[in-house]
Amino acid sequence: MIGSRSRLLGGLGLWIAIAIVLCLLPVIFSARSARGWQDILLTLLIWIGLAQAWNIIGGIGGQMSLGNSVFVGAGGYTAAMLMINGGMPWIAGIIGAGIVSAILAWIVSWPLLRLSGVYFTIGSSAVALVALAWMVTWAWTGESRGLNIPNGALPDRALKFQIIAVCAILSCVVVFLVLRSTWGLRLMAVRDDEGAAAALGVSPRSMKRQAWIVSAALTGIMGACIALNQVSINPTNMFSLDWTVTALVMCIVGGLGTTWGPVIGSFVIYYVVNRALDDQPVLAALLSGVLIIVVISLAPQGIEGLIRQGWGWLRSRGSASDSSEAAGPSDTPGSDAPTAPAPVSA
Amino acid sequence: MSVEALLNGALLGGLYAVVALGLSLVFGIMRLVNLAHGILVLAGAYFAIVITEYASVDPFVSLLIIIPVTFVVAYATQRLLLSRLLSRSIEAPLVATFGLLILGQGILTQVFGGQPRSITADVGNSGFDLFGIRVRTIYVIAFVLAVAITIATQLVMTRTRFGVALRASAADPATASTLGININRMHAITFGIASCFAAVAGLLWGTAFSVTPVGGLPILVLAFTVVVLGGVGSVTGTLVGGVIVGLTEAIGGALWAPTYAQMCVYLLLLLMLVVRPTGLFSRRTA
Repeated sequence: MIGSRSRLLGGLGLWIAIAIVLCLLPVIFSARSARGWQDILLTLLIWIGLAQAWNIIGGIGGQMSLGNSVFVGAGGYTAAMLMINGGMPWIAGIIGAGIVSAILAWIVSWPLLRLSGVYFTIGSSAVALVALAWMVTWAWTGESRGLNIPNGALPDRALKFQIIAVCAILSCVVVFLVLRSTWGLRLMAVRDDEGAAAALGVSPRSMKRQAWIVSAALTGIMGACIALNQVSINPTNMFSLDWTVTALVMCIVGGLGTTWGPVIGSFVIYYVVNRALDDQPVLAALLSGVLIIVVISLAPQGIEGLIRQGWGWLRSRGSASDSSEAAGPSDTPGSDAPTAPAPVSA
Repeated sequence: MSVEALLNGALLGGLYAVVALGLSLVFGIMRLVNLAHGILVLAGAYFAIVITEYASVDPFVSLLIIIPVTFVVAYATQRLLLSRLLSRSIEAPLVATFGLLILGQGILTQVFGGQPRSITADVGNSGFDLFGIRVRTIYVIAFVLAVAITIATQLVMTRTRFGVALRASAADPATASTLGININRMHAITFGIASCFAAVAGLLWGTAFSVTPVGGLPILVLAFTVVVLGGVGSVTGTLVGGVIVGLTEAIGGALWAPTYAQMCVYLLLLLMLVVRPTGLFSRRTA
């Protein structure tokens, strides 16, 4: 189930290779004409990082959080405050964002993780609404006017791209590792059957709390990236529930609790839907609403699950020459299909 | 803090009770939290805006069109979409209603734009003296309506065959269906009625305040607070919960600052969820 050491190293190597290629892109294509697609790629990377961070609590942990926007805002504001008031470099801003978000998550986990299911979902959205209402009036962080990061503290264009790429890939790598660790197995056990997991000595609340803190730290780091990218930030933007909602939609459309699902989902929702309907942002939002209903009704495992099933079907057709309609989805690790027919062992 | 603010807060609580009643019914009978409930309220408000602008009738007359249309649409949504998902898992219908929330928000923004709108009605701005205290007319209407709807719903649930069937299908769907109760039909009717309550709430909300397409989630959290206070599925509890939320806003707004009034409600929700998630009046201990 966990997979061999070589496959683990191979997977890690793939992610590192992707990170290196991404970091080289702005160096190689430094021409002004290349800025357009790099900006698109940058936004896509931000979404991938946010979706992966949500995936840890929402997909692998099974807790449909609507509270992650708190950590986008907390991370962004921490980074901005450290750079403005502390005069610190951007790297301190990003690390501080992760730490502050993790501490904040630990604090709010005390009331929130006493809740489960839909109570957690609505409780976490209440936390997000409280944070938004509070930040709009908090004088220390500039109330509704927000903050402006001074130009001197900002990384240059290429470096900014590299920072965001590394942070986004970091989220992906964490998800990749979690899905292949015993910690991840325990977390998924809690998601799939809390009572059974508890009976086997896994504490559901402590597993969920750890997942929530990891998710928050990664979300905070992405929040710092967003602040670096936007330069000027304000509460209605940084603490907007739209961050969480979009990340959630991306995960569900792509495939919950998988490594590549949120990446595919981010690409589909941001690039295919939003970019294609660039002058019609409202229509794009409407379409993602339709998409989420269609996916949950017809393909609850998301696009990633469809690809897996299609691949398994093709392979089984290729190998088994004449037999038969028993070409169910292959028993791939990590996929728990309650609706899919179980492959019959011969 | 003035008596006027308290009385208006309590009356406004009636409006909140109407907002929450549909959510409570669906939660209690179908075991589903309809995340699109806030959007249904907004849709009702916008529907009323359209009718009153084109037909220039009294907003309350527009209910004659709004209620049947809402019922049919909600009934169909339950039969065609949610009923299949409800049997599959707990999460699937929840995610589907979340999709409806995003979809509804998109449609409303596309059609009406993002700027605040409200229903133009004489009762929206007027007030009168009740026991020598100035109150807003729309709050009084909402409160009276809330009490009427609560009593009617309670009577239907306890005194009619339909109500008994409804409660049976909530308590034990498997046994109820062996006794000839069509669970899917019961659920669809529940969803239809609950959505009509939401539409009525929208009419009141749009008259008392202004609406924007993105207000769905805050309304949902407010309604959920009322439901949690009153106890899930409890009809009379919902009315009490609504009044408590209205008073919380009034007290919080007066003691702290008006901008924090809503925040007090969210904090009240979090407090309730931690301390007593089964509601203030539940006899069973959690």
